[in-house]
Amino acid sequence: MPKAYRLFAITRLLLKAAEIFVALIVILFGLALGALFVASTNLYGNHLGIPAMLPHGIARTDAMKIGYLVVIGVLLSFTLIFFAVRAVAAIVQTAISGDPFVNDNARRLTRIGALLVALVAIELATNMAVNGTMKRLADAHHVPVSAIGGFTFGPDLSPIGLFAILLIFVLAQIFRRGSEMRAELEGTV
Amino acid sequence: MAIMVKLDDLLYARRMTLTDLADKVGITLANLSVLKTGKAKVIRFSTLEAICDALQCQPGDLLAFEKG
Repeated sequence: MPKAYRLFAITRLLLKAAEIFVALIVILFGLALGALFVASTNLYGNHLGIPAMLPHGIARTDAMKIGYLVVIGVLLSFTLIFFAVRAVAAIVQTAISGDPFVNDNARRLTRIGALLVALVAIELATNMAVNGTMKRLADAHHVPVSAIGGFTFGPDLSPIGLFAILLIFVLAQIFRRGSEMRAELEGTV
Repeated sequence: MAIMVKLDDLLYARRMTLTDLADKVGITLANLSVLKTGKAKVIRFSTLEAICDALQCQPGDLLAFEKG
């Protein structure tokens, strides 16, 4: 097997591992969402020994709202990551079978770019929603936000990350052109 | 299709088969078949030269333009 192909095979293995890992996180946070729902009901919440009133007089149901936002944010994020990882794995698979310059790969790259844009949007939205809810809770109970706890979710909007997303869209266009050239070459006699 | 490939007529006039031509010009039968059926998108000058040489004709004998 040529060296490049061995590298692709290793990459495929790593992507498979990543896919399983991300899928487990999705399942875990799906369970967490269910657990949160159970705990937030009055019946089970009392039964589990979570006081209806938390410190600073914050109601359990209000605190649970923050939990819901975090869990839903993580669940959505990792669902997107799962599909992005699968798309990368599919691209690597075409490279292993020796024909990566196909229009499908251009479409997959565009999809990966769109998934990453959505990921950034979800992370920003979750961040804003959680911090907003905390601020409202803190203001309503006349305590500083730090008493409830600061919160950051996911990586911040980094210039490098945005640059990488842009690069993916550029690569998608290049792959599209490449697949066109490839098709033309096939009609050459 | 605006550009017609008249390979069929030329071969018929010379009582040749596509296989004969493939042997003579050193182009695969599959590629010649692509050319004959009008599915080719690009034709190399070297291919054109080899076919003209084998069939003793001009490029204009092989290709024709039809307004469609």
